[in-house]
Amino acid sequence: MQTPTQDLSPELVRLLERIALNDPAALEQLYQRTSSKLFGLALRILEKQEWAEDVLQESFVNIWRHAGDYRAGLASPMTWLSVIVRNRSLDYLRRHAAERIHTAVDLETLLETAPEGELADHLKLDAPGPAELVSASQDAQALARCMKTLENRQRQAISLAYLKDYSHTELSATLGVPLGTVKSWIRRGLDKLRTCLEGVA
Amino acid sequence: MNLHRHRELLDKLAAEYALGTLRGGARRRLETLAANDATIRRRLQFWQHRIDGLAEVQTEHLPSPELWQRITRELGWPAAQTAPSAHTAVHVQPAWPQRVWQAIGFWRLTALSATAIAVAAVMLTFRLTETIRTTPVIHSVAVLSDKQSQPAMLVTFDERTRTLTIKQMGQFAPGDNQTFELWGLPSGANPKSLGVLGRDRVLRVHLAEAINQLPALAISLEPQGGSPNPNGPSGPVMFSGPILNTAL
Repeated sequence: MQTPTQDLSPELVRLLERIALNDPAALEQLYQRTSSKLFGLALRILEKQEWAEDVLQESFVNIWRHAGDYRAGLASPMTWLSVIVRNRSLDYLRRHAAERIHTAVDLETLLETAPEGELADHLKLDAPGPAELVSASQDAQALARCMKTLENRQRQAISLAYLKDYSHTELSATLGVPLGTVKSWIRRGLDKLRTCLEGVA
Repeated sequence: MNLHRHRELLDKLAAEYALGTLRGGARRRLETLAANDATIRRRLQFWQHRIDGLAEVQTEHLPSPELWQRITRELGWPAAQTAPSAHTAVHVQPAWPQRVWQAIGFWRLTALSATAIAVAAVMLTFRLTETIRTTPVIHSVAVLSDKQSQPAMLVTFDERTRTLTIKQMGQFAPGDNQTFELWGLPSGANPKSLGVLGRDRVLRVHLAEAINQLPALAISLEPQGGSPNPNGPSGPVMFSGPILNTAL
């Protein structure tokens, strides 16, 4: 089944072109179209409303200054914007390294104590549903479909590695499993993704 | 090892590279290999684009309504000209002269430090050349900054000789077998290669087109000899910045 999607790409590309020419109205329109999506991403990584808002502010200032760097042939505009927000969020986490250790402990406690459903909800590790896919680029949608073919544990490890920039060691601590297990979840998960993505492409 | 013959291994490494779990020496070795090998670069790019899709499919959340104001304040835009809420459906676009004014206001504020450096450098250039008959006529300067907005390259354009001079300000150099390439960024067209920076800290380029055809410049990291793609950088953009007209 196809999810209802609206391909925002052409519109976002035009907005980025106008932003590169210093058109403030274009930045505002881009904000209206993408801020809730990008804020959701920042919130997912940072888990704190206040931090996520700081990062979204930094990101939009950055987008205003660097819109001219966007190359339509290389990535969809939504991917480009998401990567900016992800990288800024991770920078922010590094700057607040002390708090990050705190978050990791929280996750660990949560894994031990929380009921299954709640945990999945907290970590948002399940495959994205139709609502998340609206306005995602074609490539991201293909990836999301392939992520669904993975086992929960594999998907969880891969999501955490990317969104939190966790190393194998950090993943092993957070998920409470041996290092070797984490490595094999990631390796097998990525293998499956490759097979699936090549089938899509 | 020849990664071409081990396509599966290359894919495994590239996927973990994109995911971020390939770290330390292994990560650096793969980067070194990729710098000299287009096949490896393409595979890294393939995986990076795919994995980056993970960032896109998260649940939406509305940020607080004040956030848009915070952004416009940081950009130094006049408060009265921004819409009250980021989520209002109707948007009245400011009149053209206002937009231009906003853009000028923006550059005045955000490029303050960059402009100060640029102006100081132009004044210095003038002083040094006062005694020489062929005083350059410089109405255009640019400061190319890195992603952290740290100024890295100073660019001046001499109208008389149509020479673009790029001067490196920091202590940095591309790795072995790598080089910096200078690009002009015309609006609505592909980037135009203006030359490759050698080991010298200064590069001079004769410009065929009018400087106002190139609103901005960028420098990318490329394999030796420059980008294999004539229409744009193949490596990451390291520094970029707009060309500022000092004859306002």
